[in-house]
Amino acid sequence: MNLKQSAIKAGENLQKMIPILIGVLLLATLVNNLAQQYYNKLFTGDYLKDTFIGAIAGSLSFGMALTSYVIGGEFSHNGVSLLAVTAFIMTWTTVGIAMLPLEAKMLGTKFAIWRNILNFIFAIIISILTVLILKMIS
Amino acid sequence: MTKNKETPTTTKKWKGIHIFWSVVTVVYIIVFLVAKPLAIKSLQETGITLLKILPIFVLIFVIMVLSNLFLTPELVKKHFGKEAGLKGWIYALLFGILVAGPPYVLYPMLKNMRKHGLETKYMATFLYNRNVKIPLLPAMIYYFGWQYTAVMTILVIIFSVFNGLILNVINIPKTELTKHNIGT
Repeated sequence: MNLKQSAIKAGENLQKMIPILIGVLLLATLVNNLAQQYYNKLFTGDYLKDTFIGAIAGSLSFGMALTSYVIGGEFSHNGVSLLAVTAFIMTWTTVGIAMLPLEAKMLGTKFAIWRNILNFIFAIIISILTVLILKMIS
Repeated sequence: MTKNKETPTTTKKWKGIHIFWSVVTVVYIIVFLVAKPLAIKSLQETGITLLKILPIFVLIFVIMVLSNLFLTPELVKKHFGKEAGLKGWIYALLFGILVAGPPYVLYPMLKNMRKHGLETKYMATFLYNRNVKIPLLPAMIYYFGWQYTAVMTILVIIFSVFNGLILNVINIPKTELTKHNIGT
């Protein structure tokens, strides 16, 4: 494949990708704004319940990883458990419900769905392990 | 004959995009009716994000051109194919950690590589390791401390391998990509 052919192919791919990306961004921004309104009201103080709530809130959110650290830091200051905060940070970066249509379109539906399910489970496991290891260290 | 064969495929392909856009439109209409400020805020923020990521489209284009040119089936098979072995794992881990940028920049390249023989396990491991963001580690240390950052980073790297192995067992067929008909 020469440069011209590969540029044409790339242009065609981009043309197909852009409408999906715009739609995904519209949905992601909406879900994100909606979720952020309820962040502080979500947590109950229940250790296990909060972990799931944190994981779900992170899964629905979308944006730079740095934003999740800032929000997670605020949660921590407000007394939310480290387990829930970790689950929130982990799913923020590893689970992308809003990005799912694009991921499915590009990498395959089955792969995208299974990857997100698995990442959600792993986020909770990693959260538990992180807190346990930190307790052991200290 | 060819025309007759192409028409249903094209219609089917556009149907999917139309359904997706119909859902987006309906959702926004409902939100606009129920919570107007939220809908307006989201539309404005999407517009701002799109303006911000316009230069990224150039980057995506460049990555696509380069991957079309250089990521040949032979090269992908050698380093990320069935025979790659330990080397494939190491590359997936390292590239996942070192490659920065939003996922939608990488999806087209991965799709291309997958068509050329990229194994599911390496793709999943690569994507999971993108959570280890070296430039953001100082920020994480600032908010949660170095012990927390170190433990979580190590766990993410370990679990990225489990992620790859499990998704490989689920055995997602590469032929699934042909159904989507993008980038062929």
